[in-house]
Amino acid sequence: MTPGAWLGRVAMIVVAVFFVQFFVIPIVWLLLASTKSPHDLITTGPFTAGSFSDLAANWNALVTFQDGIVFRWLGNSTYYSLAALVITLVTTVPAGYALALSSFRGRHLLLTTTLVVMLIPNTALVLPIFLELSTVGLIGKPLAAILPFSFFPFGVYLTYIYFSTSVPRDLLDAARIDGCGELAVFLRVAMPLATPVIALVGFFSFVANWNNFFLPFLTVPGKGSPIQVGLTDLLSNVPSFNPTAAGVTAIELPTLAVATLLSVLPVLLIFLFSQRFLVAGLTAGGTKE
Amino acid sequence: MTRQPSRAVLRQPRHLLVAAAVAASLLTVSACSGSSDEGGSDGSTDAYGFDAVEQDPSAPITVWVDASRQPAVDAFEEANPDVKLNVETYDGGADGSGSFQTKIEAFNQAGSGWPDVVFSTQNNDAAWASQGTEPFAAPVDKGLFDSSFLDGFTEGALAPLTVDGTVYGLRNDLAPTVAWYDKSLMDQFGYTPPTTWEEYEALGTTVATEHPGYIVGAIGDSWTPEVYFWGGQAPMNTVTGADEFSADASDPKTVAMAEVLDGLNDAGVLAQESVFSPEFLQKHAGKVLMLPGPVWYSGALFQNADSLNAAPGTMTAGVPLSWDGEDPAAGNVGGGTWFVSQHSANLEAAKEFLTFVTSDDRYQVDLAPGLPAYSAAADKWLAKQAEANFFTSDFVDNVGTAATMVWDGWGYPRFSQESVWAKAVTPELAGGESLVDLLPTWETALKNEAQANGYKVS
Repeated sequence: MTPGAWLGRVAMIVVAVFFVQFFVIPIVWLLLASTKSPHDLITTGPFTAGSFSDLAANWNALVTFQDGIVFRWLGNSTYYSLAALVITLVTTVPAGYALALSSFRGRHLLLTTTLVVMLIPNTALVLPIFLELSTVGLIGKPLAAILPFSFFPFGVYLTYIYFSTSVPRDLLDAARIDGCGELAVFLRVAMPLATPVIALVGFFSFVANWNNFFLPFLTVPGKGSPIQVGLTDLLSNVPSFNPTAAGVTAIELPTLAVATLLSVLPVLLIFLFSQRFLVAGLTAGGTKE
Repeated sequence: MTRQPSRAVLRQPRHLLVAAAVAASLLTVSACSGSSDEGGSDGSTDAYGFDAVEQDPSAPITVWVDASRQPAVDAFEEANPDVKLNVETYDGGADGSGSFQTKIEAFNQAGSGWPDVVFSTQNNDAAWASQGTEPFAAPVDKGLFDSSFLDGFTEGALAPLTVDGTVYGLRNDLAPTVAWYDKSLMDQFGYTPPTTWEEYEALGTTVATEHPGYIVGAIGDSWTPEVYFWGGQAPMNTVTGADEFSADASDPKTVAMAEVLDGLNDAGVLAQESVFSPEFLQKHAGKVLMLPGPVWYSGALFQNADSLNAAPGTMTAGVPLSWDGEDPAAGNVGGGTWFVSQHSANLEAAKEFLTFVTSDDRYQVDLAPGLPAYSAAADKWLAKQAEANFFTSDFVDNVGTAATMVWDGWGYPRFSQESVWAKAVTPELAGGESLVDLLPTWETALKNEAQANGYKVS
C-alpha cells in the first residue's frame, strides 16, 4: 500500500470515528443517565454507569407519575400511529400505482399537487387542519390525530416512483392477457412486487406519526395526548426546566431519560425487525436492468 | 420501457401554478372558516363586566392545570363533589413554552373549544389574555368576585394580572425575592448579615479575601435581573399602559447595581452557573454564605436532598436589601396565576373553583408548595413552616414582609424578560465582559423585543 493510500485510509478512519462519537456519545449518555439517581447524575462523571436499583427507582417514579399516565400516552401513540398507518397504506399504494401505470385526465395535475403538498411544512398546515377538525367537532377525539396523520403525500410519491421504475408494464400486460381484471392485476401482480416499498412507506409513515408533536399538541390534548406531547408534560415538571415546581413534583432528570428511551423504543424495535425490507425498499428503483 | 412522467410534469410550470393556487386557496378557505359565531356573545348578561355567554349552572367546567397543581383539583373535587370538572393537564406554560397562548389562539380561530379555567406558571399572561378583539381572560373585579374577597390577597399580589386598572385573574402563589443566608456560617465567620446593597458588596469583598471559595450570590440564571435589578429598583422593565414599554440602562440605580455585581464578580464571590446546574453543586455546595433569590429556593435548593441539602437550622431568609437610606424592595421570580375564560358557560362554578384553589386552607395551607398569594392562607402557611423549624431566625417574619415589598416599578409585558437576558447578557457575561459595559446591549435587546411584541418604546 502506498503512503498516499495509507493516509487516505487514516483520514477516513478519523472522520468515521469523529462522526460515530458525535452521534453515539449522546445516546450512550442517555442510556447511562437512566441508571443513575438525580444526585449521582450531577456528582459522578458523565460516562460512569449507575445501578439497577436506581434504574428501577427511576422507572417507578415514571410509572407512578399521575397513576401511570405514561402507558396511556404510549397506548395513544400506538393507536393513532397504527390506525393512520393502515389508512395511509390503503390510500397511498393504489394512488402511486394509478399515477405511475395508468393514464387518465388530471393525472399530471394530481401528481404536481402531490409534489407541492410534500413541500409544504407540516406545521404550516396545523392551523387549517385544526380549524377543519373543530368545524366538524372532532377536536379531542382520536380521529383528530388519525385523519391528519393518514395524509401522507410522500407515500404516494414513493410508491409512484417505485411502480414507474421497478414494475415492468409488460408483466402487467401479460397478466391482463391471461384474463386478469385491473383489480386482480393490482392485487395479485403489482402488490406482491411492491412489498419493499410498502414496508418503506409504512415505516416512514409510522415514524412520522409517532414523532409528530405539534398537531396532536393542539388536536388531542390532555389524556388523549400521545407520548411526544406527554414528554413535554414530564419536562415541565423537571425542576431544571420549571424551577417553581421544584419540591412538589416527582420528575427528575434521570426519570425523564427513562421516559425518552421508552418513547424511542417502539420505533427502534420496528426498525430492527424490518431492516431487511427497508434496505431493499430504499435501493429499489435505483438501477434498471 | 417505462415513461418518466415526473420529468414531463416538471416541464409544465402551468400545472405547478395551478396546483399552488389550489393549495393556497384551500389554506385561505380553511383559515377563514374559523370566524364562526359559535360560542360568541349572545348578550345574556353583563353582570360580570363583559358580555358573557348564556349561563348553564349545571354545565361541567374544563380546567387546565399543570401536574403540580393536580392536588388542587383533587382537593376541590373532594370538597365539592357536585361540581363537574373536566380536567386536562398541560405543561402550564413552563419555561416560557407559550403553550397556553398557542392553544387559546387556535380556539379563537375556531370560535369554540376554550377551557373555563386555566392555571399558568407564568405571571405575564394577562398582558395578552386581556387583549384582542376576543380577549380570553375574564375580568375578575367587575362583578365576578366580591371586592372583599379580592382585598384578601396580599398587597400587590394581583399586580401582574392588572392591565389598565382591571384585574384579569387571581394569583396562586407569591415569589418575592429575599436575602437568603447561612446563619451558622455567618456566626462562624463573625459577619453580620447585610441589610443594604452597599453592605452586601462590602461583605462580598471581605469574604473574597478572608474566605475564598465561598459565594454571596449567583448570576448564572435567567432570573438574575428579577433578583438584582428588580430588587434594586432599576427601571429596566417599565410598562405604562397596555402598549407602552421603557427600559433605562443609564438610570443611577441600574448602573449602581451593575457596578455592585461587577465588583463581586471580579472578586470571585458570585456563582456564574445556574443554581440548578451540576457545576453549581460541585463547586459551591456547602459554600453558599449568601444567595439573594426567590422564596421558592427554600424547597428547590436548601431543603432538597438532590440540591444544596442544607442542614436543618442553618439557613434563613433576610428581608430584601435596600439602597443606603432608602426603603427595601423585593423583586419577584414567578408565582402562578389562575384565569377564568370569558367564554365560560358556567362562570359561577369557575368562580367557586378559583375561590377554593386560591384561598381554601385545604389546598393552599395543607398541600401547596409555595407561599400563598391569599393573605389569610399565607399566614397559616408560614405558621406551618415555622412549626417545621427547618429554617432559622426570623424566616417567617421576613418572608411575610418580603411578600408585601415587591417593587411596583417593574411591569409584566407580553414577552419574557428572562429570555432576553439569557440571550443578550448571559453569554457575554460568561465571556468576561463587565455588566456595566453590557447595560446598553441589554437595554437595546429589551426594546427590540418590546417593539416586536407591539409595544411603543420610549
